[in-house]
Amino acid sequence: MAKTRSITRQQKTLKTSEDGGSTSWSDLCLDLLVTVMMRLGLVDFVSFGGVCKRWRSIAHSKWKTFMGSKLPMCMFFSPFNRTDSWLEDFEGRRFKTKRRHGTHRTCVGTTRGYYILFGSRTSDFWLVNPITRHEFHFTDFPSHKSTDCPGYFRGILIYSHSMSGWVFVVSHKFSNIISFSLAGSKQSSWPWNHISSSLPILDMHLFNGKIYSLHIHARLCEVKLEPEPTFVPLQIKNFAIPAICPIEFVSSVKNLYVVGWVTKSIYKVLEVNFDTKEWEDPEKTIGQYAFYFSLMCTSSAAAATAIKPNTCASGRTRSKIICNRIVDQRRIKESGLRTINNDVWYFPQDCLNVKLASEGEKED
Amino acid sequence: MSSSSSSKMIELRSSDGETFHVEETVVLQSETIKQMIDDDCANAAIPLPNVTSMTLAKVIEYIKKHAEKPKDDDDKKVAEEDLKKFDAEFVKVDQESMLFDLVRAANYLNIKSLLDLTCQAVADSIKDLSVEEVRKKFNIQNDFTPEEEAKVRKENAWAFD
Repeated sequence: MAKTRSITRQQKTLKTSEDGGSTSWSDLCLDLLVTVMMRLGLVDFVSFGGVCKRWRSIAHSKWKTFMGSKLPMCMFFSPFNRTDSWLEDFEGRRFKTKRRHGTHRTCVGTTRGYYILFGSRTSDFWLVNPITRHEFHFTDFPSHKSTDCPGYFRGILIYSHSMSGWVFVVSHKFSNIISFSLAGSKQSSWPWNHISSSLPILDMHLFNGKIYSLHIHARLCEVKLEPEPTFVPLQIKNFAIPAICPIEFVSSVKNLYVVGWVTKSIYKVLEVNFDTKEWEDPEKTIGQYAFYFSLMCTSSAAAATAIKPNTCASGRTRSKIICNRIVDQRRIKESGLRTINNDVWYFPQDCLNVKLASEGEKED
Repeated sequence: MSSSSSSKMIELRSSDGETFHVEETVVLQSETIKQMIDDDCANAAIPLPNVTSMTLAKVIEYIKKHAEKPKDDDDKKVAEEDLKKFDAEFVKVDQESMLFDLVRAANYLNIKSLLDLTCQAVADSIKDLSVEEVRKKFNIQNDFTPEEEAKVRKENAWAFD
C-alpha cells in the first residue's frame, strides 16, 4: 500500500505543480519565501541575499522590515587581536568576522548600523557596516578636539539634503563642541566644521531624523546643521532627576527619553513631551519596552535604545534584558577577558543599507 | 479524547484521489476548509488539488493532535509540553521535499500554526549555512554576474562558531 502510494505521488507531482522536487525551492511563491526569510537570523539573512538574483532582490526589498523585526545583538571586539570581532544573538549564536581598519583604532560606538572606529594617531574615523560592508572614511579630525577616553565619543551619521551627502557628526562628553564632516570631502582643506555651545555636552542622539544634544543642567537642544549650524535650545519643564545622577538619552521609535542613573542598576526615566514641553513620567508608555544599555552605562560607547520586544523573541521580559548588562559582565570576567569597554549593542533596526536607500528614503 | 458525539465527519480528497474522513471540529483549523463549509460547499468530498495524499496524511496528523483538548489545568501543562515535543518531531522529516510540501499545504489550507511551524523549520535548516551550502541544499543556480558575486563574497565574510 505504502509503496503504491509513493509511486502515485511521484507521478502526480511531476504533473501538478512539481511540489516535491527540491528544484522548486527557487520557484517558491514570493509570500512563502518571504515568510521563511523573516524568520532567519541577521547573518543568515545576509547569506540568503547571496544565493541568487531573485533571493537577493527579495532580501533587499524587505530590508527595513526585516531589520526592524530583529532583536539587538551584542558586538564584541577581541582585546587581544584588534581585527577580530563577533556578533552574538540571544540564542547564543556567535558570528565571527574580521574587523577592517581595526589596527590602531578603537571602536567608540555605533550609528545607523555602522561601528565607529577612531584612530587617535591617524586622526580619523572609519565607519564600517558589518552587514553591508559599506564604509565611510572621515580624515583629518583635529587632534585637539579629541579625548583620551574613547568611550566619551558620540557619533551620528545623518543625510544632509543641503550638502547632498552623508555627514558624520561627532562630539564627546563634557566638551562644548560638535564637529561634523561631509563624506567624500577629502579635497577640502577644512573637512571639519565645528559649532560650540555655552554648556558642556553630556550626550547626543538621533531621534526622528533630528539630532538632539543633552547638556548639563538638563538642558536639551536640537542640533541643526542647516542652513546655519546651530544649537536650538528647547525649553522643557519639570526635570525630576537629581542633578548628581549621570544622564543619557534613550529612544524608541515613538519617544525620546532621558535616563538618570541613581546607581549602576537603579535608574529613573523621563520622557520628552514635545507638545506640552514638559518632562513626563513615562509610566504608561514604557512598560512594553525593553531597554538596552551597554556595559559601561555612564561612559557608554553604544547608543541606548528602547525596543518593543518582538513576540517571536521567546518571551524575554523587560527586566531580563536589562539584567543582561550584569550577566554579560560576569560572563566576560569568567572567560578571562579584562576589558569590557569595547562591547556594544548592535541594533539591526538601525542598520542602514546606504546603497539601497534612495534619496528620499535616506532620512525617514 | 475525540469523542464529541455530535461532530460531523468531513471528507477530504487529495490530489491523487485518496479520500480522508476527518471530524469537522478538527478540520476547522484550516481557514480554507472552514470557508468552504461556511459556504455550504462541503456536502460532498472536498477536493484538495494542491495537496498529495502523503502530505494530507501528515497535515491531518498535525491538526488531530492540535485539536486535543486538555481536561483540566494540570493536564494543560502536560499537554502543552507534549504538543511542543510533537511539533519538534513533526518537522523532522526525512526528505527536504516533504517539508516543502507541508509549507505549501499549510499555506493553501491556511493553517497558521502549521505554516509558522514549517516555515520556522525551513528557516532553521538554513541557519549557519554558507551561501554555497544553501544553493546546494535547495538546488539553486548561482546566476550572479562576476561583479555581483564579488559583492556577495564580501558581505558573507562571516564564520559561524
